[in-house]
Amino acid sequence: MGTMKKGILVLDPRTKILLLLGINIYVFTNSYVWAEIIVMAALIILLLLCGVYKAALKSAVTYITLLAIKYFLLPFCPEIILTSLNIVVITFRKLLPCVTLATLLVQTTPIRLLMHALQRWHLPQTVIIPLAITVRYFPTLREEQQAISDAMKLRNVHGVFQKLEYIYVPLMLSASTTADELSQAITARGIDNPRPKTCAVSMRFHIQDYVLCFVAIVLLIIAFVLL
Amino acid sequence: MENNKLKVKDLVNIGIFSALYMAIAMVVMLPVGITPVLWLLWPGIAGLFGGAFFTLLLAKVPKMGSALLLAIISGILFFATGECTWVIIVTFAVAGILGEIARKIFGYKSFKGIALAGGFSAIGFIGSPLPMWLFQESYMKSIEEMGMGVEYVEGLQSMISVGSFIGMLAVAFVGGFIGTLIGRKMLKKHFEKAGIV
Repeated sequence: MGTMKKGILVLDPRTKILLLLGINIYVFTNSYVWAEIIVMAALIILLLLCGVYKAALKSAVTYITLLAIKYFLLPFCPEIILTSLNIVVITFRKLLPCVTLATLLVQTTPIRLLMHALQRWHLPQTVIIPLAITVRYFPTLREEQQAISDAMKLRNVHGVFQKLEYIYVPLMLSASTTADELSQAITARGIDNPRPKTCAVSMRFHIQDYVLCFVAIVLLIIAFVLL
Repeated sequence: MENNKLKVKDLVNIGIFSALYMAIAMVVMLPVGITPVLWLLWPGIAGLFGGAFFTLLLAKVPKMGSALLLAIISGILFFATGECTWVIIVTFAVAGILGEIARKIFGYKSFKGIALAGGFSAIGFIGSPLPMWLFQESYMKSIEEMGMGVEYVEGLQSMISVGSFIGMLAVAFVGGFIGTLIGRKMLKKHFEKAGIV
């Protein structure tokens, strides 16, 4: 049915967004390392349940490495690099829960479902349409960039400024022609239709969604109490 | 002024140029991981390199809301991909609104409006390094844990202070502003002749 079912747990896109928001606000007020470790462990279990194994492993390894750097490497560093290194390590460690959850959102949510979820929240079409196009354009952008750099190698372009100009101009030109073609294509498919769009995949909350939304709310409450 | 409403074509343009604007910001973000000082300069650098896309978009879509939509989309996507936290949505929304006000005052077709909006949009990127100020408590706590000296605290405070915050804002605005100037040069050289704008 087009849903990306990987693991044993399937979440509603709205749950993932709410949870992401909850974690996001929580990490700002929390300054206890143990609470952070619990949140992180819970997130990694969630990722494993949802079947995103690679990202779960990556996050776990990154988190443990950052903790190890902080407690085993930093005390032996000279003071000059310590200041900046400490900030980098702490910031990345604190932002890691957000990154982990965002990976889950990106890897398990098709863009169609995300659009549908945002529409359920009554976000205006003027925001949803460009948003979907932006997400869809990123892979194309990589292809374009590859083609341009191949062409530059053939023509032997030198100099930083010249190279930059030779990348920018074709990118912008192709982007503006793509925009014209794409708008014709989607108009032909009836994006102008003012009626709310339907979705073939039924989207509703299950028990796991209610539980996780509850968790998100608890995190928010903790965040504001700590504030 | 009668056609001031965004049509499907305009929305597609905004979507595609937002992708370019964000992609270039992410590319220049790569070296930032090395040192936090570069992170403070990142909004300015991102605005500088993204300015050309921004200028072309606003020249193509001289209507109300295009700068705001670009800012909001960048904010939402930076948030959803985990590159940045929710703070960036707020900063980008504020930046977008400021940009729209500037464009309204100077007129949607004038370059002054575009340049100011470009500067304000670059300010939106400060949502990324802003957690450094909000995480201060954690930094101080880790200093206590490790029993660091006064020197260290001073170094930290000089980096995360009101002064450096204002500096960051200024760098971001100037970066975005210069970016649009470069963009205008490019438009004149390549795009006006081809009849795209």
